[in-house]
Amino acid sequence: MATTKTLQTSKSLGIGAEVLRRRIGRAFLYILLSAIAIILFTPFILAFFGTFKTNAEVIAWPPSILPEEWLVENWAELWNTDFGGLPRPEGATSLGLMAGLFSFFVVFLLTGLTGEEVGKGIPRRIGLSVSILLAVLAGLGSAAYLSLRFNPHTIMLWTVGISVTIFSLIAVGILAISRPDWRRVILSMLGSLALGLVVTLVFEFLANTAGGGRFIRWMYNISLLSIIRAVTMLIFSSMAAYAFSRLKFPGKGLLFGFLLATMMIPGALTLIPKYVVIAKLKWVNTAYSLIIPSVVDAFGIFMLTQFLKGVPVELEEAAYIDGASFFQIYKDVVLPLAKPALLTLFIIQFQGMWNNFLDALLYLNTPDMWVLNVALSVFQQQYRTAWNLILVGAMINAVVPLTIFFFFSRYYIEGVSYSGLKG
Amino acid sequence: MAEVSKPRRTLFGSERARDEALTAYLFLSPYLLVTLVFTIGVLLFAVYVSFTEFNLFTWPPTWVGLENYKEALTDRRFIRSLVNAVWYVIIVVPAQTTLALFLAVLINSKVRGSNFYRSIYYAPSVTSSVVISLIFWWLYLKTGYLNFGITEALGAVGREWAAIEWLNDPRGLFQLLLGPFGVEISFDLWYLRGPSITWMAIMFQNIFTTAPTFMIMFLAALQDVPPTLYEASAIDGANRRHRFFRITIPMLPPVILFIVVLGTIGTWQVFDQIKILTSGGPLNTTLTPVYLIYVEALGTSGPPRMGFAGAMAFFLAVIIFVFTLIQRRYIESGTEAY
Repeated sequence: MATTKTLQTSKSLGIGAEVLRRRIGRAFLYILLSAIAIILFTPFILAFFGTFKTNAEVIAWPPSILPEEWLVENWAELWNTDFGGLPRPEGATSLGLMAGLFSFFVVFLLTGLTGEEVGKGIPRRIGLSVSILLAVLAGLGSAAYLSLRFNPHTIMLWTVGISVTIFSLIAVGILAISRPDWRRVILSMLGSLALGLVVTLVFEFLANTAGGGRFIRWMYNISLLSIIRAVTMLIFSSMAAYAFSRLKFPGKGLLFGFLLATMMIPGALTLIPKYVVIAKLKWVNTAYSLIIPSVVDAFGIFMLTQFLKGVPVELEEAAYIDGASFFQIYKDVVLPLAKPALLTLFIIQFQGMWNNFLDALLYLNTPDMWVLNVALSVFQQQYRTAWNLILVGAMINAVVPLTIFFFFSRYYIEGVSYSGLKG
Repeated sequence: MAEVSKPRRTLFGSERARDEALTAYLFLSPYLLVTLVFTIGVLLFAVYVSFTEFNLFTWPPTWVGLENYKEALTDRRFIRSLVNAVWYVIIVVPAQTTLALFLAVLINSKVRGSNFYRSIYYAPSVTSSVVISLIFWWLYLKTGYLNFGITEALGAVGREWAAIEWLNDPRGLFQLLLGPFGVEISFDLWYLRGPSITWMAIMFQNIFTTAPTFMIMFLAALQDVPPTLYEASAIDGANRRHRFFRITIPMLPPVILFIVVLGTIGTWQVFDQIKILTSGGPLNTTLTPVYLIYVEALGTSGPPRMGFAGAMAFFLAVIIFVFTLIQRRYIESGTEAY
């Protein structure tokens, strides 16, 4: 085909002209592609240069592109400014407690099971009751810790205590159903609870150290919230997706239909009532408001279910015949297979939380609990004239998503193709 | 394991069936608990509050029946916000879809480094709308780069340009177009003035940030077009243009529909840009439904009225729900990758 074409053209134009024409076309295409790339990036490049200018220079007419003098100290100035929010114990404690609960849950599930020694050691009856007792104690303990640190509303003690108990019970239940070695379960539960306590203290200390109204605190808040929220969503969504794609149980079709139906509820509708509920639970200005209602979401479950349906089940059947429990299969076979989809979902959720504005604006409104987006919007309204510093703030916020994108662009792009479902 | 191979009768049938069911319910329990409280519970509460008058300080709510709905339908600002949203949808959705398709086709033409360009085009979209809004806020200043660029460009052809305060200019599109012919549109006829300059500036920003996202979706669809089709047509002597208009474009309608619906759902719920850039002004020309709901519920302009906000949210939800239904039909028609 190519030869006939060349022959034809060589008669009329000569080979050189044809090649030249194609090269010019190609060069034009590259120039066009690069020009668009530059246009899309221009606002960022201009803003980046703007961060090094004096304020007068930033709003001068005619605007210049490069700064006259590179004021690197603009960045340090904004970063080090204390905007004067007092650190409140509620906020710091809630961040610590969420990190603690999260690490307890993950470590307990990861260490609570071994393939060996099934049926030996402590009998099921005793093991189960001790674990349930420990779960309730964990809830009581967190409530006690809350009232030790500050003087919270009773409703907060109840809701936080019950939430912690429920999550611990779920973890115990998951292990109990896998016919575990109970001695190991109890030991690993004690260990994970101790770890959870340490994590709580450490992250609370870090929050307090970062202070009330500084960029480092807002960076800390949003990083912690984004990571905890993305990973918990990953865990619970993948568990639900495993149930939907692999396990047989009564009511499966009904529940999946329910899942699809909840995905259709527009966020604008539940915005205000949800805020009222959170406010009545006294969760406003704490990490609970953004983490507990969003430990799992329908979109993630749907996406992972679709992914898992395309993965062959032979390996899992083999594992089952070898005596693995469903939780073990999920943990050791399914999760490694689903790694690309999990990474994609992690990136969607992390970015979703990092860039979230409306929820954070509603729920977090004391300076110590602001996240970067909220802080920037308040900063913009209070310091309307400090243009160069506003640009620095915008750049500080953009650095993290851009860096992650730089390393994981493939997963981002996969995620976009999926996230259309989110609606 | 010996015990596994011995089937025992239980409530769910065999031991395996029981284990499967119990595991499934446990694995689903976090989802079910959270959804029952924070989705279903909140949804029922949403229905209830829309029939009441209340805010966080006047608990418990007082029942007012359909009053909030009646008021929403006659509220000037709410109607205004819906009209604004319609303008937004009419202009933004076609523009961003076309731009996205153009970019996707451009990248899909077999050039070396197309993945690189794809990443570069998408990169600005990973930053938050707050960041983009702050940067555009600055670009839109009277002494900003946009005015500067237009001044320079018009200056090159010898024309003058009076710098515009992009984010504070309520003049409408039709008002501007008809002005030179001596047609004046009074302020009472705001709906005939068309979208304001400020509103169009925000639209431009939105097109700029969402087009790359939709470009990625188009690219995924374009790469699904079987290459054999192109090869066959090439043998039949079709050139690049033919192939684009006769093969690529006819393959696209379902994707285009999907992206249009998706874009429409998104554009009905604009909030971030309004909160950061204009607070609904100037003269309410950039007021959007979600922003109005937010303002009413928190009482930034008067006492908080959550019931009234709830009623408005219901009207908005109905509109969005219609588009969601279209989208859902598309998803269920078997194209699961989107």
